[in-house]
Amino acid sequence: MPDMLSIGASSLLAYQQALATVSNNIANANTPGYSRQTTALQAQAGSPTGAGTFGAGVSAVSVSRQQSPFATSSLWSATSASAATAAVAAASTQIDNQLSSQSLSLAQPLSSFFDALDGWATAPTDPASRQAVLGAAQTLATLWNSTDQQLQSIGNNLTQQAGASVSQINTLTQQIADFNNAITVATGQGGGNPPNDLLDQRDAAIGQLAAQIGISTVTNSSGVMSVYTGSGQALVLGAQATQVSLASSPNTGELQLRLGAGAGAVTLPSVAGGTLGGTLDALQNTVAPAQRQLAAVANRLAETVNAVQQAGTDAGGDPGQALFSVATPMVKAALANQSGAQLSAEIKNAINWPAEPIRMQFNNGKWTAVGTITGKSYPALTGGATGASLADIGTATGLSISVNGTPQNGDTFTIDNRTSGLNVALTQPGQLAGATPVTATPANTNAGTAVVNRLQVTDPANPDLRAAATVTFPTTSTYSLDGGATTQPFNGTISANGWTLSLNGTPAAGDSFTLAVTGANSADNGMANLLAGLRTQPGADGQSVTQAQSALIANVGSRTARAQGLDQAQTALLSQAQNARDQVSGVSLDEEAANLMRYQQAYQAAAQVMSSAQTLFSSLLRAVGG
Amino acid sequence: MAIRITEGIAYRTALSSMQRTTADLGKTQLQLSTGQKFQTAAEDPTAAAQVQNLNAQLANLVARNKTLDTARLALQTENQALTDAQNVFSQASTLAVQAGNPTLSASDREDLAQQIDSLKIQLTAIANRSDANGKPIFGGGLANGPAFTTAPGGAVSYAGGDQPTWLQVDAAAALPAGDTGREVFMTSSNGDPNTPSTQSLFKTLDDLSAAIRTADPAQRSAALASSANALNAGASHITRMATRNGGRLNALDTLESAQQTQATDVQQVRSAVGDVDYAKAASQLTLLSTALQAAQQSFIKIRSLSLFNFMH
Repeated sequence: MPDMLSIGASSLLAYQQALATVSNNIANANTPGYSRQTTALQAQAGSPTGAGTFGAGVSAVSVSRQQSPFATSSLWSATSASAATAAVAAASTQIDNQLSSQSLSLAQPLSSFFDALDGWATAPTDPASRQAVLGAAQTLATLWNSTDQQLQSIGNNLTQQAGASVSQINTLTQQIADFNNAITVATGQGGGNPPNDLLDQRDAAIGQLAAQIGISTVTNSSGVMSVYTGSGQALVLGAQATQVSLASSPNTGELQLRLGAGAGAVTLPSVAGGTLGGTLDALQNTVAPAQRQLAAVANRLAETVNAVQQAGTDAGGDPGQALFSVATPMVKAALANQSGAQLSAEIKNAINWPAEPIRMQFNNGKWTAVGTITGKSYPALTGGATGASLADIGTATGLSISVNGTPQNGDTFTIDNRTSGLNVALTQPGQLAGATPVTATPANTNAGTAVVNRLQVTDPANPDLRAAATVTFPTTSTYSLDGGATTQPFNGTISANGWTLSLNGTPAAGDSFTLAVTGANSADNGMANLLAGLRTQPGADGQSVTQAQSALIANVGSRTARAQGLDQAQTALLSQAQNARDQVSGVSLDEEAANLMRYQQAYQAAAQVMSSAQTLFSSLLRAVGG
Repeated sequence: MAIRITEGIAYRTALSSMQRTTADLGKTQLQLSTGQKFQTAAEDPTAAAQVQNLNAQLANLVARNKTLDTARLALQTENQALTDAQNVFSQASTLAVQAGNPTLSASDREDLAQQIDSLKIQLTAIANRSDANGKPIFGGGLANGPAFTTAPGGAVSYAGGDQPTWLQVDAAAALPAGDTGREVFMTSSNGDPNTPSTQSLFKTLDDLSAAIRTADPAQRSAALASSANALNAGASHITRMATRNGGRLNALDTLESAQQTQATDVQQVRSAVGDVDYAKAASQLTLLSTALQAAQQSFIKIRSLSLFNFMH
């Protein structure tokens, strides 16, 4: 039959253990990943007697951690999502700062370039004003390329960050596998009791892994937890960790995650969640599009300026050469291509360039082209298997594509344009072609008062722009071109070959004007005016170069705003998930203080029981001893 | 079940709200110190693009105004030249009237003829004037002079180009900042009502000089009469050129004041879109700092409450 002493002793022991648990909770109140532990007390089985069953005291049967698997895995997925949006937001913010802060923006040098052109248009023969145009063009190109470089280095940093993330993933998966092993051993040694602190540490390691990559977990009956990627590939199977590495896609060059090594290696098409997922996402969907758009605006600038410049006549009397040069798009042949055929591409119409990579595939004598981001199909081209330029696809994509070699079915190429590579191709101020390419001169024998009012280029692309021409007036109110028999009514202006000639005064019958190529050192500013006018001249899509530049800023800005908004939302969700986990597993000091008092009082009471038992026993001894 | 507020929850909640307020404070402070509503496009993408486009518009207005000033200077220079040419012609007319006096001796007429010759030299000099950069003002696209050359026999011919310099003085308007010498000096008329023909102003003066020197009175009188017609035609040709030129100068004034109005409008819009509202930002700053202070004080107060304080 139990006695007071042994009951008192059992409760002293039990409360000592309960107090130890409380102390441990207080000690670990700020330990990351620690789960609050509680001591489970149980009444000891009593001894049945004729008078009933008397209790036999209390014992501490187990110490368990307060944990909700649901709250923990919610925290992990919130951690993954938040780390991913944070990586994207950080990269976007960097790009936004680069492109739109006033001191780094390209708006200023672009405006200065057009200011210089305007200055030159008012003083076309002044060497200093020509030099100013060349200088402003150089500055613009330099700043443009440095912006391009900045975007490139943001990309390089992200690639490094992805590498660091991968090596952390490898360390963590190994740790988790080791913890799994240690948990199996400790559970065995503890007679089936869970090794609380090892479980906490493993969960913390999984939490850190979740910050790097999106995961899902499965726990078996013995408490061993296996970890999988979001798409279901095993990262940790029991005590076995899979090593991961980064590899460039052989087809597109984009970074991909590879699991395992050697023949059994698996390459994931995409990675979701965690810093790694966010970093790869930012590389493909934030940095690369910004680079493509910057390149597209550079191409537009070069194209529009060059078109006018090439139509003009320079100080030496020669046709103008391109002022700007740009990088040609990168063409990547898929590794699996059967033939050695090569494609080359050049951007011919920057407005039509969709600013996304284009995947071209050859099948049954036919090329197809698909934008890799929008999935848009461009018109297919039949025939032209080799040597031909792919005009149909080219027109739709703004490219001039030519094939070298004989492609085979399934051959695939990706065309991407990420580098602006804006450079000034002219070195001498005299090479700037500001003069109208042709000059109209009245014949010496002209008897009328007609003189040239203005000769303007209206179509710089006209192939006959520089062709010689004669305007003859058979009567004062009609004219014919190049001595032709057909006459047209004259009402002040004459248009042909891409130019428009307007006259002041009245021609006499028989008067004529000849149009011949402009010579050296012309003081004409016709093309300089057109160049300066490009500042506001809308392109085929209604946007001027200046507007295209600010549209780029707005585009990057709204993408950044969206990334920042998502990140804020995910941060709030993460904090909610953390609170939900802490509600179950966190330590509340007030609660521990209350428990401390409770168990302390119980302990004191148990000691009192011992003391009373002793007094009782003493009274008995005294009575017997008389 | 009551919510368990654990240590972690309490600290995290208080800290994140204080951090958020501090970040907002920083943003407001930056607005006040830069005077701009947003620092990068991400804060307001639409407004950022709008401000950039407005800046581009302003830059274009400034460039147009500079071009307009250049055009005005050139047109004023031409205006002066045309006024001087008008003077030459009115002096020539006076001399022509004097030469019609039948009592004049041959030497008197020779004096008058020599005066006409020097007036022609004056006119040639006016026609060959250059601007500050040495570019002939009547050169019509000629980079450097002379626009007119005089042959040994005295015949003046046009050596300039045929393209007046057009300047883009406004977004929607270009005008010639001068005229070709061919139009101004070579396309006057002989003034003959029966057989009109194109004649240069120089030839008109040459003809007058020759008419005065004509010995035969009848022939002289006839020659002087047709010279008088040509002189009138020349004077009215110059006046027509000067009027057209004056019209351009007036147009420049109108355009300039329109540009100034437009610039003010653009600046106002830009300010409304991109500039900070100081009163609003300042009161926001006060509001946020009060909120932050309250959060800090209440946090300290609440966290100093603990059951442990009451245990002995």
